[in-house]
Amino acid sequence: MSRYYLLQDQKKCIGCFSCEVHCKTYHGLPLGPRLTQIITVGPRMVAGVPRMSFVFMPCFHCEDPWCVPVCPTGAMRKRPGDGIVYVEPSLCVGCKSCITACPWGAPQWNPLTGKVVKCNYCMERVDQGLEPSCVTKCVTHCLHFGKASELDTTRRERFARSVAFELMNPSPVR
Amino acid sequence: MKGKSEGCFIALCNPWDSGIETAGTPPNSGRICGDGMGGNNCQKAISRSGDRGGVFPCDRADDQPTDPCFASGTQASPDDAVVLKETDCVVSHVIDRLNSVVEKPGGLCHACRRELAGLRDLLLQLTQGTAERDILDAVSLAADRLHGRGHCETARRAVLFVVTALRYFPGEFRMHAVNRHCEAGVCRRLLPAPCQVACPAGIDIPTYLALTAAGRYEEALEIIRKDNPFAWVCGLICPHPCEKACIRSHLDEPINIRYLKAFVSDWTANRKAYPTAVPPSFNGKKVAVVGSGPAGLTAAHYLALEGYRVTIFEALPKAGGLLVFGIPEYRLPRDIVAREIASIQSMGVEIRTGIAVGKDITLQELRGQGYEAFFLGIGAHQGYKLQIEGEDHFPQVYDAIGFLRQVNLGVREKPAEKVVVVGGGNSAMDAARTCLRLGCKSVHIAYRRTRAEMPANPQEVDEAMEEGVQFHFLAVPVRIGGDNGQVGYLECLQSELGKPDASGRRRPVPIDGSNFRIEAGAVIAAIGQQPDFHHFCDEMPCQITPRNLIVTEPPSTRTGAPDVFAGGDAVTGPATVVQAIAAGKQAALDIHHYLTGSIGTPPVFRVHKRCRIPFSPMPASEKISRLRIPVPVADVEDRSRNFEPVELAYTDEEARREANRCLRCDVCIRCGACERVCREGMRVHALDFRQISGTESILGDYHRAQERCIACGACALACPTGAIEFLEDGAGREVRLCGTILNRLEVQKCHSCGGPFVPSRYLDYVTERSDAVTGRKVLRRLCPACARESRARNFVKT
Repeated sequence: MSRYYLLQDQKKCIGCFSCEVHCKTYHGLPLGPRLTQIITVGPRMVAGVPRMSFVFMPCFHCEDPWCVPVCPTGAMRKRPGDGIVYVEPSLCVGCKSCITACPWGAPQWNPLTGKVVKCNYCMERVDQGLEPSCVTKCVTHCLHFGKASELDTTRRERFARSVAFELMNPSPVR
Repeated sequence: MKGKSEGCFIALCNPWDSGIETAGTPPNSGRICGDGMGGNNCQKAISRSGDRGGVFPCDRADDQPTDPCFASGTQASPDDAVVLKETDCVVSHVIDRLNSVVEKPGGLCHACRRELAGLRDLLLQLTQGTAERDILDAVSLAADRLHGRGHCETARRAVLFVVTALRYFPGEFRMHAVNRHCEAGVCRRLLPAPCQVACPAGIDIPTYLALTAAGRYEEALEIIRKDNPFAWVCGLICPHPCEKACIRSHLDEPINIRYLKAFVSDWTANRKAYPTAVPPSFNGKKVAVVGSGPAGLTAAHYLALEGYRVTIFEALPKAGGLLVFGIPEYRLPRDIVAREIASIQSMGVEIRTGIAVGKDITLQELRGQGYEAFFLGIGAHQGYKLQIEGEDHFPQVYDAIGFLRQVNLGVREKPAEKVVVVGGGNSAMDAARTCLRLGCKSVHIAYRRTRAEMPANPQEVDEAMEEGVQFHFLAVPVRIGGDNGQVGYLECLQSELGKPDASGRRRPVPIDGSNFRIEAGAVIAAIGQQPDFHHFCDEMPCQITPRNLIVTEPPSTRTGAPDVFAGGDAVTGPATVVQAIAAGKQAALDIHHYLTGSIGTPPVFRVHKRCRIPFSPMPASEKISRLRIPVPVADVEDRSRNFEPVELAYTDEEARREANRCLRCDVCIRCGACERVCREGMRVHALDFRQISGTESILGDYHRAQERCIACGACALACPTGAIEFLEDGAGREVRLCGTILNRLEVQKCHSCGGPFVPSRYLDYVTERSDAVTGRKVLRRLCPACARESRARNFVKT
């Protein structure tokens, strides 16, 4: 887990895709790669009412990311200071191993450069004390970014449990 | 590198190269100084940024105050300056300069950035070889517009690089746009194939091979004829230096490049009209060509294409020069030469035979008739003498070129029953084999070195041996003897090979007392030729070397007289037809440059990439298993007593198979980038390359990729020229090298959406690496999009 958290309050999210738009704009991406994605789940009937959920799926910057060891050239790496997982483009040869390895499909293919791109929490912005572009421009303020150490205990636990549950899934089948 | 402090200034130099020094008075900002540690003084240009920046030739670096480009008169404040050497490409440099501005955030308004990026993209087309001929007009238009009306200072400064580079280095831009050639060798997509470089006429060989392989014979012929008006002739008799350079010879044997030219010509001539170029309208200038050999005819062809009215003067009764009077008919049927000459005549070139310039009409008289330039392509028609005893005592001692001329003029009489030919070159073979065909009982060749040193084409030597010519190696002729004015024998000394001489071949050293005689009724000396200037008497218009050759300044064909140009055997001494053709092409360029009154050095003829034909896909096993198909030759019995062609023909199928063996070196530049990424990056080792020179390596094992390649596609991304292709369709992934299918892997289906996922070998590669770290076995069956969705469902909080 990186030193940061990026949490979505699903109750507030209206699925406006502002986060995706600003992510792509900030990273200057062409048609194709979407570093963060709003995945629409549903609609399902809840108490007789159809309900859709919007799940914010960026990179989770795992504690032991699978994409990092599969990268044959060392282009996919974890920042030692804060645990952000990012791609060093000069080393990426475009084999797409990381895309296949990641259980969430987080690394994306940039057809323009022939290299992999992925969510890096807009680390240049973070280094300047700013928030990632998706968080900054979230219309309903359902995205929250901060240092994991500053997260209050309950939310932290909830978040840890949800991610951990996923990773500890007894049948690691994808 | 030195630098006097004057304003803010960074000189970006390699310590091995010469440096930049600021000059004393403003606004000057850069002058090249010193030689650098490398000591080579090969600077081409100086490039500097700033409001009086741009790319300037070294000697004009101080010009700018009076230059209209700099009328704005702002303070000069160069930011950085770079020396460009001969090995730097001005076009690429300008693109880099534009890129550094366009890519830098800020400093440009939206409109200017878009214009500048558009300009950069236009220039990129030049370096990619995708540019149209008129692209330079578009570039200069866009540059001028931005320079005059750009909103931002940064954009106006940046575009100065384009404006100045276009002004001072138009030739380099033209070379990129028209010839698709980068002389510095920086633009990797423009590197020519080794065969094309080796061809003196610079034929775009890979392109015509690709067209031949596709069965587009007419287009193939068109490509050849763009660079060589004698496609058919060269297809039959060219000594094919291209095949020596052929990269395929590192795998098995070179492509039969030579014969395929003849094949496409033959095919086209038999089915369609033999093509002729259509010249533009008469431009009002007349040029005289002396000599109707390959050099003269080629010069006439290319001059006619520029709109000149060309008249060829030929001393002999038939046009064709050495093609008709030197090369025997069994190698080059006369109707083929006639057809090629007719095609040149149909462009309006007049050939006047039986007129010896110098004797029947002088150059001065021709000048009076309105001819403004002259090309001397008079060839080398005088054989060297043997300089031995008895040579002048007998009428049966001939020189090969004179003998062949007589035979080709129609005097088909055998010189004697037994003939001995002295020499080891192609003329010696021609003379000996012609003698056989004239009915001589026995024909001998006496050569003073061994077979290995023979300058003749090895195939010709083989064929002569097959036909029954007897060779005497290490035989140095010393005397011709006989009785009553009739040659009886040639006396030779046996010799052995000593130390190499100036030509690099080992010198024969005669052994005393080893005299032996070869019985013969006639002796033919074939030891070399020189030009014959006796028509010109004393009024030779140009200088002549001690070896009786015309003096020019290679690579140009200019002589001492401004309106006289020369090329071919008369300049080089006896050489090949294709070298004469190259000289004719260069002469046409030089004469055009002279007659249009252009300034500067005349252009030097360079290779010209005509187009890039798409690859034709072919399995690797097939590509590598196809061996060179030799051209069938007639049986010895059938051929050695008549003048019928020795070489027979390919079938359609054979021609296409042979052309398909081409490795397409016009696209693959053999840099080995694909192999490096496969070996060092991916550590898959699927591509097994073999080093063939200091900088080049080629795929040596065409089968290994099938066993090891995981179809990741990194090689295709690393390839700078697009030679490696990585193709993905719904069913599989394919890796191709210049169309050769190295590997194809079927992809697994995604367990959720049924769409394509990845090939199992690729998945094994990924899983193995990730499992090694996670310590568990992870089964991946969903494509990334489905994986993401299925995870998202788990995250829904209810």
